Amino acid sequence: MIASSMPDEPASPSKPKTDKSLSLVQREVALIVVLCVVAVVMFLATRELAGWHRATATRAAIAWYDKGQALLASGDTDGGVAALRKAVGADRGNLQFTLALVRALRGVNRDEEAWHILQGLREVEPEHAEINSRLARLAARRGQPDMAVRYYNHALYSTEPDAEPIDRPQVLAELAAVLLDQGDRASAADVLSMLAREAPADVESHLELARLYHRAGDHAGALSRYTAALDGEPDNREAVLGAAEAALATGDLVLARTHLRAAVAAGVASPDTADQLARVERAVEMDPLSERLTMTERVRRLVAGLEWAAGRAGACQPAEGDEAGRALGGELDAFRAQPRQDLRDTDVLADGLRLILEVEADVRARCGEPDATGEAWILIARARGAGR
Amino acid sequence: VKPAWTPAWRLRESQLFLVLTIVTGILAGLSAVLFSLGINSAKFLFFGTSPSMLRTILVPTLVSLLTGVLLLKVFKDSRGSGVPQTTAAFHLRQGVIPARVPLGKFLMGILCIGSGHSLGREGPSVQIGAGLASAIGQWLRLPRERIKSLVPVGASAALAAAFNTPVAAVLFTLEEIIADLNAPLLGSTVIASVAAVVVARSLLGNEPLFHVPEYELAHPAELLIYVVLGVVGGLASLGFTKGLLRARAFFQGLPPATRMWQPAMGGLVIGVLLVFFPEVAGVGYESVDQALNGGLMMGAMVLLCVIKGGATIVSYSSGNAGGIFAPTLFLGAMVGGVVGLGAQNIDVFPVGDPGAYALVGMGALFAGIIRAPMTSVFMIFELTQDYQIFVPLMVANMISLYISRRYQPVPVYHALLQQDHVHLPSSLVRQSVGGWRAGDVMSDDMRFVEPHATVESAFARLSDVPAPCLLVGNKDHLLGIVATERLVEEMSAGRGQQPVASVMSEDWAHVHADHAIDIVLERFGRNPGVLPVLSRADIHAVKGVVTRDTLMRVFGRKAAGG
Repeated sequence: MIASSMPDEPASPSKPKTDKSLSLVQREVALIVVLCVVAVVMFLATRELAGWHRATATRAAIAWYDKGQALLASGDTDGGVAALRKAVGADRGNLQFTLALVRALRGVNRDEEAWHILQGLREVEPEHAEINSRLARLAARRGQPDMAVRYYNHALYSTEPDAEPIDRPQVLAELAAVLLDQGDRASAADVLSMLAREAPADVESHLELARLYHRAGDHAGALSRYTAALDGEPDNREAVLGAAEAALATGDLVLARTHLRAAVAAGVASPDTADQLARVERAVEMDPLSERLTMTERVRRLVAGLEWAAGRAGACQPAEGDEAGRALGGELDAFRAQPRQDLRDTDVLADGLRLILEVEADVRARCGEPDATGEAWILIARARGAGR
Repeated sequence: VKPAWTPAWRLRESQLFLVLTIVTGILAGLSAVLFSLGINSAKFLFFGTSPSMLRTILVPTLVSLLTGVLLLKVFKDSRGSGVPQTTAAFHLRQGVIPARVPLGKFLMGILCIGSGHSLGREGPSVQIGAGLASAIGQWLRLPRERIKSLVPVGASAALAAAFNTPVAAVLFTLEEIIADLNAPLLGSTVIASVAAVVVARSLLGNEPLFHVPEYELAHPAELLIYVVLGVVGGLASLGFTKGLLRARAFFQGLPPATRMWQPAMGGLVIGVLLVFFPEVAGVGYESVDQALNGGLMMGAMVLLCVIKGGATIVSYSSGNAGGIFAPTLFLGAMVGGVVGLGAQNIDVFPVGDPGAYALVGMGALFAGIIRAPMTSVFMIFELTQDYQIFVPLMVANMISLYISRRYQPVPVYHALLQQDHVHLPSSLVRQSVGGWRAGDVMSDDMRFVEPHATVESAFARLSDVPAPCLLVGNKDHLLGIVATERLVEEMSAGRGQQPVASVMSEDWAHVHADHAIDIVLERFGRNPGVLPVLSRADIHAVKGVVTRDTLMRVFGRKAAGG
């Protein structure tokens, strides 16, 4: 027995009892050594078995994965998800299978489970670009834009050396959209400039970028992308109409007219487009600030506009006590009373345009929508920045 | 003459035990890993990837037919969980566990759980580890006290490797096996657990058992929902425990000839269930993972909770080998998930992720069923590694524990042992030191009468040697007691030819040898002059009797200074 046979300190060799204890201790040490050997052998055997088991499980996981993909392809989403679950269960560390399960779960609107699985994966691989990008998409869908932006940035700036490549333009576009949803136009503009450099030069990419520029309020950017899209596909309905709208927003009525005419000619126009073209045609003809006009013609067009505004105001007098309306009427009368010679100045022309728009807005508030001429003047005023 | 090199080979007892602890921890950890791999391999072997309906039904039935024979003829001590048996071995048999027990549990556990029975692997792992440790101690011819010390070491190591939570494994061993959180074995169980976990992770990788959600208390009022979860968890614990004990009593009450076939009966039921609910097979951690990660709808969780609870009750009570540790966590995850989803639907104030409720539910059910509240708290903490979960976890656990304890005073593992006629000493008995015990005042001079003997013959024996009553049965199987007064009454009424068994009392008090003298005196007053002293390891075996004479003899000797 250990307790009774082993002294705490080495005893004198002269005592026979100690010799007996000594032999017992040696036996126990020897047996423990044997146990250690057994442990090592058992460890090696278990490792072999674990390796075999892992290989078997991996084979089963591959079979389940293939089956899951086949079921998903055949439209059996529930069966596909169940099979992919088994694949992940059999080979828990396999990223490919887990991401396939996440994709399948998103396909059946099980975002919550997909979210948790991705969170678990991210704990293991925090810099993995695809995990982060998928988390970002789910965060955006869950109404967590701040989190989405964080994950998108992790996905874009992953430092993992052997990280799976991601579709960077796609991720950039999604990030820009989330930023625009948040109203962060400055950050979105930065992302869009990166996207403009990295996006492929195909029609769909140009259109995607144009839409984002448009949402960001960068109409010049949008126009350039729509124009690029039209270079690749001249009859593209979205591109031609988008280009027209962007041209209008940038104040280029002539270019807008060109794109609207092209839309009508290509047969991609709607009745609204035809109306818009008519308004733009009229505006181009009435615009005092159009290019390649003589100053005389510019003054003539402005005076015509002022007369139209006076007529519109005269038909809809301001009520008693509407001091603002009366003051505007006075201002219009004073402007009209100026000699034509004084109108031969670009700034004065712009002031006149502004006045026409203000009168129109005042009258519209009292007496309803303008006629076609009024709409054209509004279009001109906006194109020239007078209405902003 | 002492050789010059011998001092270098000499180790002090404490050093030797430390080395032994580490080696035992490694071996127990390896056994748990092997057990786990064996179950998975058996599952794959039995069912393949897409089993047919017939195969799903036949596998558990036929395998249970085989294990039924083996459990009755060869591995008699390998049924059930293994945790109560290990506790009994620690407290009642000085930690001595026959080597065939861990071997039997290993093989039977693989066959039963691998064939789809709704049972856990943690309990059997505990018994395998403890049995292995005990076998090592016996092989080394260690003193009984040391063998006893190795049992929790092996149990803790095996559980740590099986569940990948070393701290919870240590606490479980202290709470459940040793039943003393201040036990001096804390150090050795920690060392063994760490050694086992290192071995397990080096072999199986560090992939966690579950992917747990990030915990967040979304609103202070959310604690109210955790109170509700505690109540629901307590009631669910109660339902499961009562159901398990009643079903087991039912199977035990069936004719002895059916014992061999009972596991197969359970296997058939499980086979049919597996056709419709494959999720209930084995430990069921895949479904727990789904519940934690929002992959199950409320209806599915309710259904799985009921079916899994029923399946586990059938698998366990029909006598198969496997534990209730994992099924408890399964039920907890479902209960918690349902409460969490319900709270989300009510939408009164912001609530956290339903997965977090599933996690807390696991702890609540564990506290309610297994009655190891510290283990449950630290187990969930080890899974989440998030301090924020402590408060809601403790709230739910304590309420669940209170409800469960209020309506089921005896913990499930103790109650299962009692059904096997084993009475563990209570904490009061274990902690009381000094003073006289029942063993000090009992006598082995016992008067037995066969149950089929007539009242007349029993009365005749009393006339030879007067005694206040007779014990009915024999030393190994006490059936009841019959008072002398009752025999006189029956003789006077002319019913002397009827068997003693028909007049014996089955409602009588008993004590165990370690009961303190005040308990002996209190219980002595309930019986007609004789208080049997029964074995804790087998409640039918009589170790002696306490009579008025034995008490007077001992007290008289004491009074006389003897």
